[in-house]
Amino acid sequence: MRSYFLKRLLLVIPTLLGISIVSFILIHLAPGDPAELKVQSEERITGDTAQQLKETRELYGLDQPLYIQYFSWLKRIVTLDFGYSLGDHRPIIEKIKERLPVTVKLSGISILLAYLISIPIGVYSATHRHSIGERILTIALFGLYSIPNFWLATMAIIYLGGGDFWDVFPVFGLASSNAANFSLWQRITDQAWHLVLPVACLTYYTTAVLSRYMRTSMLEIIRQDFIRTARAKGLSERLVIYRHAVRNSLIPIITLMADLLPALVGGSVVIETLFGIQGMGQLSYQAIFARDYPLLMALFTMSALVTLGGILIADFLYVLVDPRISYGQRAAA
Amino acid sequence: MRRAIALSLVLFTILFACSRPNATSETTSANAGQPVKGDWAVVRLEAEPETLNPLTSTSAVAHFVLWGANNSQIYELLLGYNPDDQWSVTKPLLAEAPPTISDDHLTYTVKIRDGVRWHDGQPFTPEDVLFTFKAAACPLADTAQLRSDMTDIADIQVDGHSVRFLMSKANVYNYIAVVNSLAIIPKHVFDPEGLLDTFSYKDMIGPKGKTDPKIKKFAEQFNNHPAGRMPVGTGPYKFEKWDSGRDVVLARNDDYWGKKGYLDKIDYRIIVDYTAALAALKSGEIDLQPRLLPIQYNQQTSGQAFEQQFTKTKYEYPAAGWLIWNNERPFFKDKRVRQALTMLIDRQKIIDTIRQGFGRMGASILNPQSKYFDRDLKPLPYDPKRAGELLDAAGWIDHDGDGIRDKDGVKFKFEFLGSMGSTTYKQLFPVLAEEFRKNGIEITDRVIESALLQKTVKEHQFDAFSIVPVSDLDQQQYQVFHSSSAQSGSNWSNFKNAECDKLLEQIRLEFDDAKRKDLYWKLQELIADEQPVTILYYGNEPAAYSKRFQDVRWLPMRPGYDVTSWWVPLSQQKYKGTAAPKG
Repeated sequence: MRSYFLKRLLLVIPTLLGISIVSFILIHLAPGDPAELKVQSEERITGDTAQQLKETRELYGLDQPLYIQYFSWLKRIVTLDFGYSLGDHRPIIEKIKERLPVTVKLSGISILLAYLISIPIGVYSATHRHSIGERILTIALFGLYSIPNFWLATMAIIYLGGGDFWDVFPVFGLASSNAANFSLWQRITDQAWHLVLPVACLTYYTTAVLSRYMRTSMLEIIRQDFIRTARAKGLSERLVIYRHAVRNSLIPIITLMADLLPALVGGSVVIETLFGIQGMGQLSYQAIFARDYPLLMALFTMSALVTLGGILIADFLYVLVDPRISYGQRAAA
Repeated sequence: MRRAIALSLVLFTILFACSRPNATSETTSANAGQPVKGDWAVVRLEAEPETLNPLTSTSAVAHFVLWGANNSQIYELLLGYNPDDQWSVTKPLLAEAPPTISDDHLTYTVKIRDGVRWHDGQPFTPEDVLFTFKAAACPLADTAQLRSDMTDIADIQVDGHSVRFLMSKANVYNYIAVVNSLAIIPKHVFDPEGLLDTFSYKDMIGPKGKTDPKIKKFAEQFNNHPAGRMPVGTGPYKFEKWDSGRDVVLARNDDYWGKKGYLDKIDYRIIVDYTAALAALKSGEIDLQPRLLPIQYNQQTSGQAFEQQFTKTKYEYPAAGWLIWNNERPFFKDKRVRQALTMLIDRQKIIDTIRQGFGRMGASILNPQSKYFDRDLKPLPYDPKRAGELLDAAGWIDHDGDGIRDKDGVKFKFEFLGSMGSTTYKQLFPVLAEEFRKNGIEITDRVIESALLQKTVKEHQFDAFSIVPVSDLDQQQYQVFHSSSAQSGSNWSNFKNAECDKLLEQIRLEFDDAKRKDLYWKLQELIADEQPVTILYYGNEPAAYSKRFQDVRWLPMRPGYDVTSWWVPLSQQKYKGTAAPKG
């Protein structure tokens, strides 16, 4: 078991290396380059820029062959030095530090909520199949599943964010600007109030998906022999469902965790833009359009790490929920 | 050799309001009275500035915050736009007066204002001016976009209270390069060790500039200097804080050397999304939304509740809608074809529908408020019949009867390039396609990312595209229409016309204003006749702001507003003392 995870952990290194090479090449091969964007902006009409372009290229180190650029990046990254952003020359690590907590908070709450809501919903709809309640729930979930988040967010802003309709929620940022003068309790409620809409818009889709997975998996499990056995033993229905069935039907939605985790560092461009939240999504979006190579590489590396981490964690969680899965044996065999 | 002439380094435009003195200013004076101090203005900013270092930043929003429409907010320039002088650049700011210029137009001497202090209390000196130019000229500083306009400056010397600029060539635009291109930054903040002290301006642009270790060290520090996140200027408002992703707050500078502001604070709220910005305005979170969408102006800001609280306005914006034809393509070589294309486009309808009334038909490549603007110029009419005749005359006739005109075996079929994210283009393309199709021309479209669009059009890898260029202060048309600019400038349309070249060269060397105007008129007429580009409309933008502000004026320079002169009567003040706005 331990050796299996050790092996898996060591495998992360070559995988990361491969990902970084591919991303590096892709980023640099994409048309457009940061020096050009800097020297000639679309709105501005400028004169002879060849000389300035050359100087800026040299300044950004873009005049060197690609492999040398890659190795100097690699050399820096192993010492955990992400370098400087080309946009404002600030250390990348500083920019990420500014934004990561915001995104981790938003996505973390949203993922947690999604699981907390979708597991009971899944269980309910599996155990109350064909009931009216389950049908309404199914229709509602499919409805949610089909709503694009930019639309829902825009509607929320128009109808709940003040203006012509109800002024229920703040729609801008994650805290009031005078929050610094608030007491601790006020600050917490203020923050919670600001989080409601963005978190709701981030969560509903995942919830809909997860609860369907949970339902299917649950349905499969409760048809199995060991459940019948449990019932035959005379266990209460409650115990049968919650102790025996639920735990076993968690496996598929745990696998999905690996897909959701990258959002922790990735953020959501749409939601962040609409609600004026400066998270990782906006950072990556702006980095892409500015062709901010070092920043992009830092972001790619981070999300690669988290994705690989997510897969590892999912594997590990299998063991926790299902004692039959044991990597040690398989590795030995 | 091509020379990039000093055009305004900033994204701003000076326009001249001579033709219509009051057209763009509007004053709310309902309950005017004596201006009083107090209150805040919370202004929507449509993006976050990448840095607030005025020399390395390239975004328009950074410039809005740093020196606003009047060249004077946190930082100041040497001279600003003079409303009493047709918005020419003659208003003294950090210079005491416009420079004295030698007869050969090679020496500009600027007398520096006395008694000005930086926001940190240090005195402002001529050395700061010299330092600013040295920093901008430093080849290792990330200021390349400024250097392309400074190529004629050979040396700069400090002489007592004056700064002398020596030019290598005479050029009309050098005036702007000297007095209205750089925001002056404090030497003691950006170079406390005096790393650049031993170098003259000449050294900076010479070979030493690239190799000297001291200059290298300076440039490294300069590019990511902390003052880029907390600027120290001389202007009427001081930087207070920058809450990343949220807002930039400025506070009134009570020690300002000139006319002080009234509002206690200016809070630039960064709200990217237009719907969210309008919701924020309606709920009172922001006070000024300087650029509504036309549809918001027409449909989402009506009703008594809104009108009681806010004033809606339209103002001229120095950006025009252009279609650019690649004049080297076989279809666009003949000027009759280019004229025909313009006549096939119902520009008024486009303004009325797509732009929802925001825009004005015109034919000049200059900004309509420039003092060189040719008022007699009439746009070509919308006339498909005449256009058809012109196309026939040019030899573009449907020979094979497939409904598409052709000539010498080439079909009149071309591709339109659009910028991703431009909603105007998305609506524009089908209108053009339909009109052209009816007249035997087929167009297809390709939408690409704006970062890519620039490169593509610079290399002339396109047939036609639409763009909304910001037209600069007595905009240097040299870089847009001179044949030499097709290679390395902004002559995207690949327009090569000997007569036009000659006019452009004359304009650069004509220091007599009246004669310059004649030349400019000739140029406008020539280009209107040649139609290398089609002017769709002159810009016009909608805005809405809280009614409590007094003396609100709209200016012909970007961003169009200058809150440093706004004020609020005591009874209507919303934010008292230091209490921050709710939001």
